[in-house]
Amino acid sequence: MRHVPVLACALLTACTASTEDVEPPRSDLNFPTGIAVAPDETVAFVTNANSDLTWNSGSIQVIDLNRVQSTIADWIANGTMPAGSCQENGEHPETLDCEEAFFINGDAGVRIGNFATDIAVQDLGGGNLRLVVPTRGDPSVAWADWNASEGKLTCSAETRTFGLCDGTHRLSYVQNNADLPGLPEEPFGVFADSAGEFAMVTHLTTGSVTLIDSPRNSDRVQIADVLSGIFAPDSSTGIRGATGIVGRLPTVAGDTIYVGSRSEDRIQTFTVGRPINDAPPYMLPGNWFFLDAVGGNNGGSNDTRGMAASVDGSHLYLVNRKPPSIQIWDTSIGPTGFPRNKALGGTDICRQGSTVAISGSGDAERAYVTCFQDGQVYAIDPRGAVTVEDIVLVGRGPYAVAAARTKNLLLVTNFLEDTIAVIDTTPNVRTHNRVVLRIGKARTP
Amino acid sequence: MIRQLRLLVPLLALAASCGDTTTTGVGQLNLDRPVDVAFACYGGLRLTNGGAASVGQELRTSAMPVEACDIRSGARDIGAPVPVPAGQEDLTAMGGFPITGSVWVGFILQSATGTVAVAQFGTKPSSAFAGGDVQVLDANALTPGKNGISVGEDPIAIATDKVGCYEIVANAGSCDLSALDVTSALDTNPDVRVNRIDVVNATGQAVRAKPAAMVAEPPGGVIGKACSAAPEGLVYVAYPSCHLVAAIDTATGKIVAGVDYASGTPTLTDGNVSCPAECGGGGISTTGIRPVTLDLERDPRTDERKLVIGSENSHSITVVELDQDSRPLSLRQVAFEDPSGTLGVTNISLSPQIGMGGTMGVINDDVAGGGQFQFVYAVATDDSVRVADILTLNRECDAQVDPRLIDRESNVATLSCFKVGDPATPRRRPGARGPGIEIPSDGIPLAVDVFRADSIGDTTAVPAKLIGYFGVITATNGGSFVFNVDDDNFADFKQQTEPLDAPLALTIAHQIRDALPQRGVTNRETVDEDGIEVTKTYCDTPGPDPDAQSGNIGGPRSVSAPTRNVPSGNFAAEKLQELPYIRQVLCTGEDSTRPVSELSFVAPDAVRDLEYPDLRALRDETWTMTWEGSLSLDKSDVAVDGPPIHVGQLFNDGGGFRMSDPSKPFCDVGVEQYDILQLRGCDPSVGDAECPIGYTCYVHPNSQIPGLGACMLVEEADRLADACKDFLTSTRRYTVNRTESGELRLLPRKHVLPTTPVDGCTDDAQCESLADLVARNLTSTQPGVADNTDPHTYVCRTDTDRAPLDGVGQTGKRCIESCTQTSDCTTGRICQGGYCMEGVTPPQACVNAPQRFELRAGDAFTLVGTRTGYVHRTVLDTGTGKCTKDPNASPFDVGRIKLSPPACNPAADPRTGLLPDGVTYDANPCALTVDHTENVTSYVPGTCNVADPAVVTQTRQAPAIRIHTRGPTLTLVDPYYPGDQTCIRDRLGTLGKIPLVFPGYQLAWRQTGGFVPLLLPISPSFPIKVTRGPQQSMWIIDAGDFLSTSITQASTRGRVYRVESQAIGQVNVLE
Repeated sequence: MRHVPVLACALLTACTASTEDVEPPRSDLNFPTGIAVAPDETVAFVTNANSDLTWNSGSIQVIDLNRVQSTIADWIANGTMPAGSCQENGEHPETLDCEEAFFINGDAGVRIGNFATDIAVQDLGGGNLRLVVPTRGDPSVAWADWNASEGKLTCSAETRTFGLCDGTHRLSYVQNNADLPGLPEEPFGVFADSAGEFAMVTHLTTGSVTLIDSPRNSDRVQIADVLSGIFAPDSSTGIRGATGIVGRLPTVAGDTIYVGSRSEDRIQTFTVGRPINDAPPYMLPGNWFFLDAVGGNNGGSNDTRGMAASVDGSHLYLVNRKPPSIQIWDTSIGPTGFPRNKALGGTDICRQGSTVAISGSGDAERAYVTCFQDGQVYAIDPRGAVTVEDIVLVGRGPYAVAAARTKNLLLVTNFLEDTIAVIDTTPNVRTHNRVVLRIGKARTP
Repeated sequence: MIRQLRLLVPLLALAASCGDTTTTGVGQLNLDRPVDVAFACYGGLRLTNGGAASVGQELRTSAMPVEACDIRSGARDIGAPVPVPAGQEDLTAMGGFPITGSVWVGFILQSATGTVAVAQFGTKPSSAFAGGDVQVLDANALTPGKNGISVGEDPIAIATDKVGCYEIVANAGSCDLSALDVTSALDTNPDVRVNRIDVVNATGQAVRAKPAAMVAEPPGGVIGKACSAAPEGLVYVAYPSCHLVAAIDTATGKIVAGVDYASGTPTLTDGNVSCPAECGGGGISTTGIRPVTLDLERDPRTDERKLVIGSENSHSITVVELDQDSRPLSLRQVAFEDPSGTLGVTNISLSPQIGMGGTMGVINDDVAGGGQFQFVYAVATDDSVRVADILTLNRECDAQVDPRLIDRESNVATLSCFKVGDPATPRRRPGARGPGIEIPSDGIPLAVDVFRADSIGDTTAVPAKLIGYFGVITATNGGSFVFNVDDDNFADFKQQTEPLDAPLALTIAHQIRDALPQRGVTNRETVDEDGIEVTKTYCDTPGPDPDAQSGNIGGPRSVSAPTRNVPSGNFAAEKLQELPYIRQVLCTGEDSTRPVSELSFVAPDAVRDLEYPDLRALRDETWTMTWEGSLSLDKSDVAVDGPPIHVGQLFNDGGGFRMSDPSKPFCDVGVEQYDILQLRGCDPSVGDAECPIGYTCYVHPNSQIPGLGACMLVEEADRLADACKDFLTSTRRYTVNRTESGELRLLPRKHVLPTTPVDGCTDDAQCESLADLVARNLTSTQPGVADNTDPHTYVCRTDTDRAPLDGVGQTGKRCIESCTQTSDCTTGRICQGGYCMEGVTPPQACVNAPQRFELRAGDAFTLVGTRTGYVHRTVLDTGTGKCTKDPNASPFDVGRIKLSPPACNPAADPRTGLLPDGVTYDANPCALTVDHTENVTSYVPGTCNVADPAVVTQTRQAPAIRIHTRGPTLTLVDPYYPGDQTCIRDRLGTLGKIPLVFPGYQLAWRQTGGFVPLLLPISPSFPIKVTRGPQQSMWIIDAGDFLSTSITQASTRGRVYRVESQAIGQVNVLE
């Protein structure tokens, strides 16, 4: 169900929409971008970018993954579906199309700025989580806490449901001090480190990286450090860009964070230092390495996009657009006690690859890459020679992807059609690597 | 004739274009992510059923056994008639209808689209290919563009059936096979026949496992026999999740035999197998060996058939002997070395039986002196290509034996396969990851295959001219690397009389082939003088220009003599030659007689041979040897040994005074106890840019160290100025006391006189005298009249914070700058405890900001190559958490040189350092005395007035240090100096072993003529496969996208290259 109040009013002079009229719908997807799964896989969080500015804000919505799982199980096993909410897809009989409201708890979400790009989850313990969301509109970084017992997000002092994040939860300046520098433009990727109690955000057009201090037991979340000039500018456009970001082991304090670039064939590593005088933490730039293993003319891959790490931190997956490839790097600890950071393999994939998620572990580990332009998800088998195991049609404009490993589900946001495609990753079954559930009705182009 | 052949016109066009040298234009893109190719023969066929030809026999246009095209493609003289198979002769003179020729057809499998693209090329000798010979056809003329033929879901392999009538496709998406009727794909009827073949076991139950690889039995069939309604012959299909390689009868889809890995050990099996249903059947995959790659060859000389199998999670390959029907007879395994227990094989290739050795420019398999071998090449998961001989040795061959250890080996059989694990096999070259072939780049091997290159045309021995057997390894970085198997046009081993002519990289098997021509070029030339050949030597030449537009040639060498880089204000120019240098030797030439660097082009051959013992380990790069140099020198475009400026946190608390870096890089950097940690603070000239937000780059008002601020919180800087004064005004240099991967314990560093004798000082007076020497070395005043003195005080004491001087003859003491107050000390040093300190332990409050720092070698030179980096043997001792030396490291892994190493053992081999026991190695580096030739100033006797001539060349016995590295072997002369008596460089002083070096003193030279791999002249993006085509042509399948940035060049979705093995410059490109 979709409303267009802002645009409608724009056609009428003297039309004044109330705040509620232009508030984004609680249970409709609206240019979904980022998606993340809670560590216990009970819920997933999706950011809505509100990219056509239909509404007065973007939002974070909460998807009930247990309901997703049971709906899929019934559908696959018995062909049954929730009455009134779902129907069989006309073109793909293995796919069930369902209304968002059946899975989205409308009262559990919050409203944030427009043009959210990504979402990261910090584990606060006890099932409680903190979500960190870069938004390009302001630019700012929103954060909201998930209360597991209440089953809802909060990001403001007000008690109303689906509230708008307040200034405290919208980070725009270093140390929340307007006299200090602001957040650089175009925040893009985000990574949250639960053990280190921080998040880091990359910036697409400046190449900057921002550190956000996020103490587990405190609301004193703030931008702590900004580093610029990390990457060389693109030789033709002059633009520097930091893109993908991932921690090797986000549950181990002090481990390495890897940052990729759209303008350079280089991966820069960071760690985070905390001074003992209670001053804000800062980033410690570390080693770098070049993506020379894949790509014609002696390597030189660049325009890195999504990055992901295997569960044990031994593998780093990189999506590159030039050439279109996924690369796998050995990030296990070598004989010197330092990550090996050595290329293991790679394969050609679609053009315009966006993000990557890892499903399974060990022999069952697979990487899934979204292909924005082609409406596909590539399933990559990293074993041996690294092969494309499957190419899955998911919808228009797939962007973010997240895996619910124990549920054998993969969730893909289709930015251009306002849906979430759910892929069954259970090995060998008839529906393996097929979209078995589509959440939301696809928007007409 | 029952069908019109629409290939006729293209056939004629092809025939007319034989001399065309243009490459295929890009008018239209034809390919979309190709992954495999197979070849068939198509054209006019007289149906003789193998009998003699007669006029009345039916003619048709049809697929036929590939042997028919092989025959028509045979080598022949220009103008000679095209050879035809028996029964296919032209009978028009007898009244018969003309029979059309045949063409080769390439079926290019495209995985993403599930289609096959069709290409064709003429039946002509390889030597007639000149570019533009191969063209892609349109499978559907009614649809715009060039179209392929739909064959299946996620197809992974294609192969031609035994009789050449069908293309068999293995589909991973549907777990079945497809059979494409070749004739139906090429005739004028738009209906193309593609049949699905369900794979079944012996009892007829469906086998629905995902295939990973497929090969067909060798081509056969009868030329002149019509195609059947179904494919013929066997295909072998690898099913990794079923742990099975199945022999499938293509006519029925039935598994008739196989190799079963289910038990963990391969066994021959019949068709009674079952597999988990992977295509939607809900089958449960089990763990076990996963075969993923196959090769099957019929040896052309012996007619033996073998199947080889590689598994992605097993270090053993399986060799299956096949009978004449290509069914399994027996099997055996060959294990590859696998110390990690994780090795697997992802691609495999089997060579024919090869007679190894031969230098005459012709393939001599039947008479070769090195004996018969048959090699398997396997792309392994350690990013190398493993090699095994499966003919007689049944062992893995070591492709990484250190060439300096087989310098005099001339047994071709031995050189053809050094058995891995054999005690007689010499040690590997340093840095080798294992016994496999490694490609000299960051790329990862993808595929490998072996080719025979016949002797055609000019046989001049140059790297790009291949005669014999060679392999190609394709890699993820787009490279297609050529390696030697049996080069029959070049020396088989090193020629001791001309040691530079035949580097082992060009001679022995399983080595990436070197591309630089004229390796043996020297500074000598032979000229004819009145009918007499005279050899002349020249000394005033730097050798071939490495930057010449025509490309580099020649052997490894330094481009020029090493340069001395001296930080200003440290040493008088007139005295620079007193400082350590690289040994020079005498060159006596027609043009001049002069000292030349042992590393140079004009050094004697024997010297160059010793200096550069392993061509493969040499790169074109700049080497620096820097006193107390940095251990990390990465640049914005280089990443080999870490960033030159690290960033960490300093702590001074209950845990001690230490530098912490959570990324744990310190063992990796190679830092050792007593090394130097130099804090770099921040540069105030760039404001606060090097500090975090909220910090300022603070410079203490009393600091006299230029450009050295410290990041401090804005609100704290002024308040802490007094408390941090000593720290902020010192040079902030510390001694590393304990090394862990993430933490360095630090000690304040006393200032020690750099001229402290290498064996330690004896008394304070000696130290004062040596301090004055430092002062005098700053001026050009002759030693006999110099009276400069150092105003500071030095005492001879033991410094427990530096490496002990406790060797034989050493005093254990150093000259330390002493003081009673800071003003007594040299600028930047702080008086503490009676000594001048280069760095003091700061209060924690002074160092809460992130700290930028350098790590430098203490009391040693660092040897660093711009591409090699700083090489060391340090690893993490996981038991203690400390950095330690790897006891298993190569003795050549050396990157630091101290001034007083152990003496060289005169019995050690000068090339290798190997001691007579053949097992242990001499100290490396080690000290010795060598002849060193130099130009010295000539003085009028009894004076320091320059005589005439002003300079004379002399050779003297000089103290020296020999260093064997992975690459060059170096001799550093004059690590210390006795002092002068009267005149500069008279060396008549009696000071003892006095080092004159000072931090930052550097020798630098550019090394060129290093190893350059021979690459095929193509530019694929992701060459996923290399395979042998007709006439031993090399086919490289590029599955990657090329994204053009030029309007004159199209972006592509994959390419296919055909390269002629006998002339690798001849390339056809399909895209």
